Amino acid sequence: MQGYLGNRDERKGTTVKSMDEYCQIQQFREGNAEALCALVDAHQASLFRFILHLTQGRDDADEIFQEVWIKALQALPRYEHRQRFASWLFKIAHRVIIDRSRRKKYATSFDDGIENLDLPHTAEHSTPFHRLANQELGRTIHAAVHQLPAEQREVFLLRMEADLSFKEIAALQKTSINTALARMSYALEKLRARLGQAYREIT
Amino acid sequence: MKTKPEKQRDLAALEREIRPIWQNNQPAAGPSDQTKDRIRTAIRHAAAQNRQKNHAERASASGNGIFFRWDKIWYATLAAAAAILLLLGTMRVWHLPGTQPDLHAELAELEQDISQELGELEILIWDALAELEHETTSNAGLLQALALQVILWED
Repeated sequence: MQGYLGNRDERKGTTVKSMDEYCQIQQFREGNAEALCALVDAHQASLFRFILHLTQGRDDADEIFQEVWIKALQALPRYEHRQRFASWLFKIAHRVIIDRSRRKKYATSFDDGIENLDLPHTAEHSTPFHRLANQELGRTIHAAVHQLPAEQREVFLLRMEADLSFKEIAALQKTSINTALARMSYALEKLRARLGQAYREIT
Repeated sequence: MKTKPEKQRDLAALEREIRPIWQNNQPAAGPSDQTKDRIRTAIRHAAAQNRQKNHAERASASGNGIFFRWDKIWYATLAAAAAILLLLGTMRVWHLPGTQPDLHAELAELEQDISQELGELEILIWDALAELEHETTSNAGLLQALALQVILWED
């Protein structure tokens, strides 16, 4: 249970991945651009989805995504191996989103963008019914996530997209681990309730 | 009322249920190509700056090599001089009482040498005086003989 709460380095492969990422950063510091480009590629999808679900539409997410990487580039000389790269990167994203929402005076919302999300087809071996049902379930879950309060939504996304520990999430949100756990618990309960019939059909 | 570990187990189970639904239904969303290009350009620019910085640092380090070596020699010399001074000072403080008997012995030896030399010199002087006396005696005898001859001559 300790691993579930925070000590993620105990998980197999996490330390190795973390070491690889640190090596890539060291290579970049020595002047190898491709090493960092590979790191951008590795975190691109999850970071963009995280931003997209906490901002107003694709254009906004695009701008924030760019700003996050520019800030990460500027802060990279100060990056230390003690922190996981994903944790460090999503922390920057969290700050950029908050700064931007203060500047633009909007609450993080999902009212825009969700309607146009291009949900992928599921596994090819699934039946047309299952594909359709899955797509429906996908739309439902994304809509349900959009309706979550911002803090709960962020905890959910940090768990799902960045695979952060509750300890890391608590540090990022400047709150206690218990609060982070409670937010996740509320979020998951609400999602399960909102998925309702669609979830039961697909499972 | 559930205990804390029970709550955490329930949460973990719920997360395991929801995670695959979420992951299997991700939108095909990503940053625009323009944004990707901008980020890559920024990365290449930063990497080039890193290369230049590293190159400059290495050049600076190699250029200053002689200076650093001289610097080290200079400090080593200073350190050695300081060590010698310290050693001498320490010897003076710690070993002066111990060195006195040595000095006395040296002085005694010197005194003995001088005495010996003086003894030899005295012998030489006495020899010289004896020789002088002998010669004087001889000369006196000669003078006496001459005087006798002169007397005889006059007679």
